[in-house]
Amino acid sequence: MIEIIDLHKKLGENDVLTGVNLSIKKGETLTIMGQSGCGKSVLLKHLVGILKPDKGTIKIDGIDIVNDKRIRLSDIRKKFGVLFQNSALFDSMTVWENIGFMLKEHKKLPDSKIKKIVTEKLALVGLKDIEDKSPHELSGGMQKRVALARAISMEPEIVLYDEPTTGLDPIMAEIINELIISLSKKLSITSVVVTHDIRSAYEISDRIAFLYGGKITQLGLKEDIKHTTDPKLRQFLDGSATGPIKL
Amino acid sequence: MFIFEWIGKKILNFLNNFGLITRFFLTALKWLFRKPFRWKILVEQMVKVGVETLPVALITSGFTGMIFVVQLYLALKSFGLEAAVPAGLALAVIRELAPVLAGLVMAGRVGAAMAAELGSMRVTSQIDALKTMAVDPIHYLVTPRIFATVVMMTAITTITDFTGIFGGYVVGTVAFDLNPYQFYQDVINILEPWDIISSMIKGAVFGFFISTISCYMGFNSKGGAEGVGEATTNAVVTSMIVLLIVDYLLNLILW
Repeated sequence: MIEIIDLHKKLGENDVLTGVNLSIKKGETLTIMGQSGCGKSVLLKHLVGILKPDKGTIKIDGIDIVNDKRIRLSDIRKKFGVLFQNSALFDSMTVWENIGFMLKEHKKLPDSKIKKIVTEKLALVGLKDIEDKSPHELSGGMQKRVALARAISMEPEIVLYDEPTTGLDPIMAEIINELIISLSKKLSITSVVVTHDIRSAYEISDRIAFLYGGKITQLGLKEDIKHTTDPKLRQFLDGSATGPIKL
Repeated sequence: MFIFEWIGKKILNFLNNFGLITRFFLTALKWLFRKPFRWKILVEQMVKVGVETLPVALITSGFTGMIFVVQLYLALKSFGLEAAVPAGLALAVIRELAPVLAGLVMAGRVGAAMAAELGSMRVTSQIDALKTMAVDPIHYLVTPRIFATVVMMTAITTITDFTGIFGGYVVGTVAFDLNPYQFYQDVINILEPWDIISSMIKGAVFGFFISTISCYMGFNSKGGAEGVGEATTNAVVTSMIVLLIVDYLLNLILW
């Protein structure tokens, strides 16, 4: 279980997060929606300790990852898999080296065993025979799927998805959505998705949170969110240029 | 008032950067003594640094030795002191020209490459990806680069010591008819072991500053392609300026 408690973060002169409170249950898929630049990715980076909050805290399975000096952040990070918006594959490595990176670093497995696991993970995301290719030889959609295979290589408890469908064509976006759903079911993963793709959010989420003005202003089951009467969330879901949200 | 404010800001900015680079290096140094030791990456970096720098450093030092002898011979001949050419060449090359030229070549090639590579990794979230995979990016990326550069810069400086003198020897004996045996003897007689050792020390110190500054600039680059370009330029320019300042200080300390 992930608990975000009164999280504040200022970047430069901007108050990006101004008191985020959110609980994410084990095994659920929760999507955080909001406008571009509202702080969704910043919030996600806090969950895995890349950014430190100015105030507030985050608890992962009851462990305070912000203030508890006894814990090693690297141990907590091993519970996570992260899919970055731009895939963030290591361009100096091949596909199998990318996916096998954590296995080599933390489990010290021999190359033959790593290659076997890599092939299994690639099959899970619907890819095969690309182990020796470099990331730049792959299309955007394939890079995303390889990055997803890398994110689940250590069989993490929690997977964070940062804009998983951004920049993909509708068919590839649908493939990624289905992968997120099937992986969370097959591997019993807790998934936290950050996106402004409403269609994707409806499809993959159990619950949806709306980040606005640095706070979670709405949170509910996706059916409740779909029929919300909150004017700001309504404007966002309808994609209307006029309304209470000022640009 | 405005000028004092400007100077004050510049000094504060310099001190701030100096503190950040020092902390960055100390973190990299701490990882040098902690497991896992990244031998494979270290060897890869040493090969990369050597391959990128050695050919250009050899050409630069060889030709500089040749040009130096031409100018030195013409200058000393008018005083009838052409016999002092070999000793002048040996001291100038080993004490100053070889380490500085190797350092400038290293800054231009390796420093730029390191800043660009790490900068590109920063702006494409690859450094963040390393962190999320529970791998410290300074341990993985920076420590091997600094160590490899220090080792290779020491080796390359030693090699360029000899190519610089060899370039001068060829021109001196072929173009100006200086006695080859006497040339060799003069070089050997003027040099002390400390000259070679101090040349190597200079190389190692230059390697340390070039790699630390370049890694720091790349590691902390911001924005997209423009930020990487800026980091690369800053890495090369800062490395070269620092190298010349440190060279002056080392001259005061070593001799």
